[in-house]
Amino acid sequence: MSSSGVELPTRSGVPPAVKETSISPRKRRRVRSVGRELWWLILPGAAVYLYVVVVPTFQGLQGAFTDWSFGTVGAPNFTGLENFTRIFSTDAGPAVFRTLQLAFVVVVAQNIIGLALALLLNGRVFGRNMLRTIVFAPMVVSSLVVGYLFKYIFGPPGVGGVNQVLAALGQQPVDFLGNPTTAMVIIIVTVLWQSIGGNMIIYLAGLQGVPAELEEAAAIDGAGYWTRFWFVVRPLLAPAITINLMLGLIGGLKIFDQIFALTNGGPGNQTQTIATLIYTYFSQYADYGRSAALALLLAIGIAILSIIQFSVLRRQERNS
Amino acid sequence: MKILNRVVTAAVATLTAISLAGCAGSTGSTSATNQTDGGEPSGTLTGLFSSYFKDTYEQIAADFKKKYPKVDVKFDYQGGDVGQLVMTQLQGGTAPDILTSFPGGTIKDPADTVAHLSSTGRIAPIEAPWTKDVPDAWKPSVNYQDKTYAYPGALQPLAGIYNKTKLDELGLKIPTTVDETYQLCTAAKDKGIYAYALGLGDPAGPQMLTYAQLATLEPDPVKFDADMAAGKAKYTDSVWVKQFEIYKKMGDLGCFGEGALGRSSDQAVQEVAKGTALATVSVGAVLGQVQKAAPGNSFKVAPMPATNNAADTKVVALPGFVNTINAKAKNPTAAQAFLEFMGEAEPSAIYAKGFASVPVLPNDAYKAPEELATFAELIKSGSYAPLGTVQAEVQTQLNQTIQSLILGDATPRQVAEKLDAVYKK
Repeated sequence: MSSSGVELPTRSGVPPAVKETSISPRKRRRVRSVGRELWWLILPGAAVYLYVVVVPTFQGLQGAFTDWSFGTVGAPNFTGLENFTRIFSTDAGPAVFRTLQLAFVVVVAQNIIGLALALLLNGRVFGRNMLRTIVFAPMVVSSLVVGYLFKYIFGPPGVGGVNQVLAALGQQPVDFLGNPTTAMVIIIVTVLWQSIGGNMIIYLAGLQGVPAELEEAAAIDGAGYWTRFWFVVRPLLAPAITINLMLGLIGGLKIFDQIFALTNGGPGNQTQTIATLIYTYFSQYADYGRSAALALLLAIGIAILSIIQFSVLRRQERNS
Repeated sequence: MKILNRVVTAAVATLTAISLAGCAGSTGSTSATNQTDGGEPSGTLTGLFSSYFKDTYEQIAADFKKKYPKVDVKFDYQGGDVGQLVMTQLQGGTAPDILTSFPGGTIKDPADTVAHLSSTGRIAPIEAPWTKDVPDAWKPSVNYQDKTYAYPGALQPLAGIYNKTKLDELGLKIPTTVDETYQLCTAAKDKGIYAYALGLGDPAGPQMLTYAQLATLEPDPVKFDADMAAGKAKYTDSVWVKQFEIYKKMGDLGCFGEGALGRSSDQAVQEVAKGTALATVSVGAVLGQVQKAAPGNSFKVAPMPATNNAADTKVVALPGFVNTINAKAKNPTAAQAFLEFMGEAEPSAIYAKGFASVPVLPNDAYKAPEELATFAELIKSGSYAPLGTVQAEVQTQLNQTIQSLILGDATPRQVAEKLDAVYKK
């Protein structure tokens, strides 16, 4: 019913009032519950998920409190918190710090560069579709393959691609992966090269939801590019920022493939993170209990940091 | 509707129970079915080996099929760390009939070693005529409680693999004392190259030089292992510290070239093949790779000196990989037949050639190639040393802290202290 009292036709041509009265309450209930009777269709998927994810997760959880290893014959013994105390009496402390450091740098850089690329490729740029594809392409390559490629690109003098270019230009070689500082930088560069496309796509999707008339109105009011970005575009991008920061933090805390391929935690343990340490405990020491304990700690750590970050970002989103 | 709900609930509960039971019982679910046909091996024989030696195993498998045509051989090959895969498969109950394992080891150290696998009942004893021919020196590598559990394969040197062509071109010689080793490093540097390309960036690369020199420095590795296990010895009070000092000095002299800690073993091989480096220190199997990369060059295997008395120098000889039989093999008869076959003269010689090594079992069909002649003579004269037992965690720590040593972040003694800290008595 319109305010003028005239019945306005809907797109289907049926007045709303007529449409509403023609559906009985019983029918409405049925419309709302469409598919409910088909819930059993998820059973095969649920069973696979249960077998592949849920059961191993609980087994791992249980294993974290036992002496489970390759050498275990029969059921492992309950050892309480021994695995946890062992972890922190050895080399996990520096690895935790390094993991946080790496995650922070990766998240910040991913979002700044991803947003910059999205802003650039959202405008009228020649060949923008091709450029978007090129930036996104590394996302579809296996992280391990990317890691090994970069290992050769930044390989030692005489072997690595970059060092051969430097040699051809008459420059001094650089020990990219043999020096702990540069090795960490190369890990970050590798991760960013591969993941920035994903951030860019999420920001692009957000930018395409920003109404052009809002920007135009702000421009007419005399707002410059940065003012428009900060006061018009940025608040509307808040959901995209939340998603990117959340995914970035979770991914950043568990980066493994690139480190494994590039440095394997070396040189001298200086690029070892929690994820690579979990692998070392599991695969090299065959100490499954200790590995599960560290994985459990990582999962709890990620959950806590994610919840904090999510609540802060949601509050900011609402304020925006 | 209620009935449907109950049925579905029951179905979910059953599925859950099946899933849980499946997980819990997975390690012991493989049944050992003896696929024999009147005593003749038949059926499918599975195995897992390193992809580096695929050609060798395929050749042996082809010859085996000629002898046992009823056996269908299906081998898998794994690049990278084959031992980890074997352990995972054994744990999951999906391991094949024939396994790739490592010789020796200790019962307490959970690893893919003969001692641990046999003591925990994961591998089966081998019933083959050649088991009585295993030389006494190598029995601890393949035997457990007087039974043979592994085909010992061939003895590989762990030594310097030199690009002889490049050495001759520069007028340099293979060192016979540790001082000559340092001199070679300096001389190579003066000529714009470097002496030893090591895979120091690899997880198991740094250990090679340590093991190669310990053969000379450690007079009785078996006694040292026993003393360590009894708590009577420590790495910090042993000749290991001396080796770390040599390592440090070699690093400081630039023996390993620029960017050494970022170099993988594969890259090191390429460097030696190109002549950018004079040698690598690795197992004999690497010889095949370096020859393939530089077919026009000649190479020579020589022990790494660790003292200034050339007569002291010994070469490490080790049966790198060994082959074992899964105790839960689906086709134990064919598995036994295959390992029995591998011990015969011809397959044994094919194996030794593929691994660039010398057969452990006495073999008239084998003649050492020129590049292995020195090693074969040292073996014959008894101037070799077996590799001591190094626990998995100690080995990982060793590789990591040698990198720290080269970086200047640890002293030789601190490296040894780290090893003592993770050693399981």
